Amino acid sequence: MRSEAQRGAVKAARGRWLSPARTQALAPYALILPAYLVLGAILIYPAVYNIWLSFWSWRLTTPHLARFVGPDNYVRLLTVNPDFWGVTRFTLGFTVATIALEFVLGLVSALLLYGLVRGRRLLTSFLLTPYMVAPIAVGLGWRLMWDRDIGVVNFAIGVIGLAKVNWLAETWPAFWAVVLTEVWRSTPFVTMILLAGLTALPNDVFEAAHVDGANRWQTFRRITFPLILPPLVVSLMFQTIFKLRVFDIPYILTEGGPGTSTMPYGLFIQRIYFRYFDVGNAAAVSVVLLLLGGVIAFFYLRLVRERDI
Amino acid sequence: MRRFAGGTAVLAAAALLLALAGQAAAAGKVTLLIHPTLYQAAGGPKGVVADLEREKGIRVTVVTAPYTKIKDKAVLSFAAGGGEFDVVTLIGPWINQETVGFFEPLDGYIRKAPADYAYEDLIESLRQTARVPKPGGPAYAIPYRVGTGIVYYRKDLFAKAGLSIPKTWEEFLAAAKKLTEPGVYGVVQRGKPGEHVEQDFKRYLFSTGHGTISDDGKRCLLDQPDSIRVLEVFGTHFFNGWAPPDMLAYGRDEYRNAMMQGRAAMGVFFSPYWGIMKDSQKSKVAEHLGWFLVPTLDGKNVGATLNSGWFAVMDKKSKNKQEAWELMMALTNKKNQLRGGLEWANGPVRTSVYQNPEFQKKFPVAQGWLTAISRGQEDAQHPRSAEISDVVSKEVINFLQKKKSAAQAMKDACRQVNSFL
Amino acid sequence: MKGHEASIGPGVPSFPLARGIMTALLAFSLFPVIWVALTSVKSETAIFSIPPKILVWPDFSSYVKFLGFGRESALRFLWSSALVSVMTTLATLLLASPAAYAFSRYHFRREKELLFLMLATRLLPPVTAVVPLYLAFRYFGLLDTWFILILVYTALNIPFATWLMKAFFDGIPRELEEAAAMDGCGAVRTLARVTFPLASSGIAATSIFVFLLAWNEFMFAFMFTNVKARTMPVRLAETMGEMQIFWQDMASLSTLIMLPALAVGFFMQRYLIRALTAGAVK
Repeated sequence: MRSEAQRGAVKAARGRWLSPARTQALAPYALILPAYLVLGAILIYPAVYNIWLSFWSWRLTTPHLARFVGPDNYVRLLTVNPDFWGVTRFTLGFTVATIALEFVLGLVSALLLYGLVRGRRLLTSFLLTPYMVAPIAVGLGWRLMWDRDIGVVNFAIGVIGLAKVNWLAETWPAFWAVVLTEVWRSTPFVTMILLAGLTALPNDVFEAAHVDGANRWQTFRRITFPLILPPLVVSLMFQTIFKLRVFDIPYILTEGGPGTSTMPYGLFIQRIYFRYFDVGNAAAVSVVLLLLGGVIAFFYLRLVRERDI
Repeated sequence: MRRFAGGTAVLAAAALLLALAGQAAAAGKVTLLIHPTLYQAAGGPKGVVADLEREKGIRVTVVTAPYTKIKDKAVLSFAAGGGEFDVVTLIGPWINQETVGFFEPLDGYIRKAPADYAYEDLIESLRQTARVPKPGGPAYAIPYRVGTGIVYYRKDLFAKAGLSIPKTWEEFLAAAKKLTEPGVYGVVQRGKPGEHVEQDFKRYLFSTGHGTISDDGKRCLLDQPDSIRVLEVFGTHFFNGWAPPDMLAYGRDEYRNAMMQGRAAMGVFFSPYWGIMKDSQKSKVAEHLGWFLVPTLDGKNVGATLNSGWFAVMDKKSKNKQEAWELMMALTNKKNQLRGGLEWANGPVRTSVYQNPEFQKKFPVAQGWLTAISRGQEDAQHPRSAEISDVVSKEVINFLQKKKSAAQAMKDACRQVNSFL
Repeated sequence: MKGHEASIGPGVPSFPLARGIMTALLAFSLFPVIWVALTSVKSETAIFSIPPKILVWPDFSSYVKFLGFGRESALRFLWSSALVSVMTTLATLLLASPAAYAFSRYHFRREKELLFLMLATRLLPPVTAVVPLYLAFRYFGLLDTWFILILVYTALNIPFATWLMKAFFDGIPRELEEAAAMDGCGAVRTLARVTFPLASSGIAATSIFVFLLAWNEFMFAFMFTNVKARTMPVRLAETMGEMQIFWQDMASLSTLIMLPALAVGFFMQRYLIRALTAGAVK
């Protein structure tokens, strides 16, 4: 048992250490610490380890032969690897095309859903359905639909009277087949976030605009859009990151074909990692991807900050 | 109070029983990592595994994993120090100079095996593939399931066109041309990247009597004149519209559907599909389907093609080696290989099964399978076989996309393959 | 009230074409899903016939197999998936909402860097984390447990959840919180009564995505589990067999995976709508 005096002293000491100003200064760190502990163990530690590995020649099947090779993996990737630039080109093209389409479709769907007075809950559920389907099922289902001879898409094209398209077997049709399938699957991600953003807006803003006599387009451009920009940027930024390393849909639809024309980074890295077991090389590719994603994310953030939000 | 005491007694008894059950299982416990289809080919939970527990008291924990993924899981576990999976099923090319570092050498076990296990009865070429270096090196695996390439064809369409069985690739192409009509492709093969186009091209390539690289693994053989000729055959049916125009998107399932739904007249494919192809529940043309041996350039030694086998290996770090060996024997012994072939659609690895009258009665093609398997060969062993396969796949597709001539594609392929040798 | 709301909406163009666009979007979204559901009750020859067959005598054998208690039962995979996904959602919200609140409401040293680092942790493809995490979990004897799946999925979700919730917290006017504080509400009560209800649509949206990521994740579930903690997507992947795709099984398992996810989505929308009415009352 402590004496009264001791207890008082402890309390005073704690009081000094945790003065109101101090608490205020430390509070944010305390609030983010738990999240960072989990991130540190599960994502940051492997990431650092991965960057370290990218300077090693290390095959999973012969760990005892591992040796430090400095920037060798990067040099070979950028100069010798026959697939690297094609993969980069496809990944960037795929990312731009999907993000542009998802932005337009997501915004249109969210605004239409928000404008609905009746049946919004049900229709929203319907529009979100594609995101609920497991990626394997999306890939297999769409693969059958894109099939030249038995696919529904060519069947519909035939009804209009057009010639069959070799959707998955020619470079550009395959590109668009992969893009559209991915857009189908993940537009709801954007729709949902925008709808939530719209829903969270206070109504008095619109009332004020209404009173000021702003028309619909002006209201949208001057009030609605700037207000939903932050969640929009966050959702598009994360979507971009996910697109840069997309795996499931191209893998199941085309396995990167025809040839390597629809091979994204995700598939490329997976192949080097678990088909060639060349961990050092795979690590180097993933670091390139990390840098690419970092640069793109930086530009997204500039977009938000310039508007001072 | 009384009820409470009663409940406690029941609980205690249950705990005791559980503990006893645990003890019994601990007497012999072994973990098997296997492909789900292969597990079904051993009768699933009620088949070989159940017998082993009843007869020898060895309980098998079965972990299933899909094709290619099984290797990811196995290598990760082995590289991390092993001991997780005692027995793993792998395909031939995954047993090579690098991976055998993880496997238990089996010659000692084979020598001590009971006489009725009859190791010599396992098909010779498969036994050799399980040895590193092959032939003659130490055994690291036991063959479990095998298939080879055969040509599936529509007997009715052949009869209508008045065609006889092609023995050379020239005759094969002539048949393809004659069989093509609206709604039916003369030939169907796969052109998708990854293992699809590479496996199908190899089934043509191996008809030359050699594979991608020499047996000693030192020389690329893709730029040989006969290799270039079979590649031209592979391209001819595509360029002339005798094969599906979207062949470059054809994988395993597209192939199978085209054949089973009556949209293709013939094609070289994996022999264990026979059972599925003849399933009249799933196929419109099951009763019209026949098979013949893969043609060659000169019409001699017909049937020589690529064999593909599944093998069982034992983890070097296994803590239950004796039990693991018992399981490997149970999967591959005479009795279960016959049962697997008859009841569970396995592709048997024992000569005696193909010669068994009951098996021949059920599968009249048995003798042909055996001929094809014994004339064919497995891919050469090489630690970089995955990279080599992808080079083959890429260059064959370059040729099919008319980006390169056959000779140029094969020359470029050899240049890249040589960098791995 | 309803009519009033429609007239002052956020600038939605209500031209007649809107209805047409909506119908087209609905068809585009729903058709493939309905197709998968239809496939689950079709035999293989019906699946591959051209022109496509819409009317078939339904064959529910696949569902009977997976929902029964036999050896093909998928119930234990569903249970694993449900447990892992729900726990992941709770854990993510528990960890990410304080962080999001801190990033939104406080200004502190290295704030921007810490926020960006959080994003940067997601820039590497998950496959690169497989080997180091496998080694670590093996060392601690945690392979094949639900715990590690929850842990990994939570970590994968925290960055996105934090960022998104921060965006929604940012949208809440500080004046409302200050007013509550002046009314005598403590910090916790202000959070519970004002901040979280106003951010509820954002929290609902976030939790749907967190749930779905955990619900559909395949790679870690496959690599880190063997028997005990296997989830539905791992079982689904097995329908792409060595020899053939089991189309009907694939479709019925996909439908079984989809239905709970749909239910969760539908249920969570209650909060999206409630937030709106709460706003309208003020």
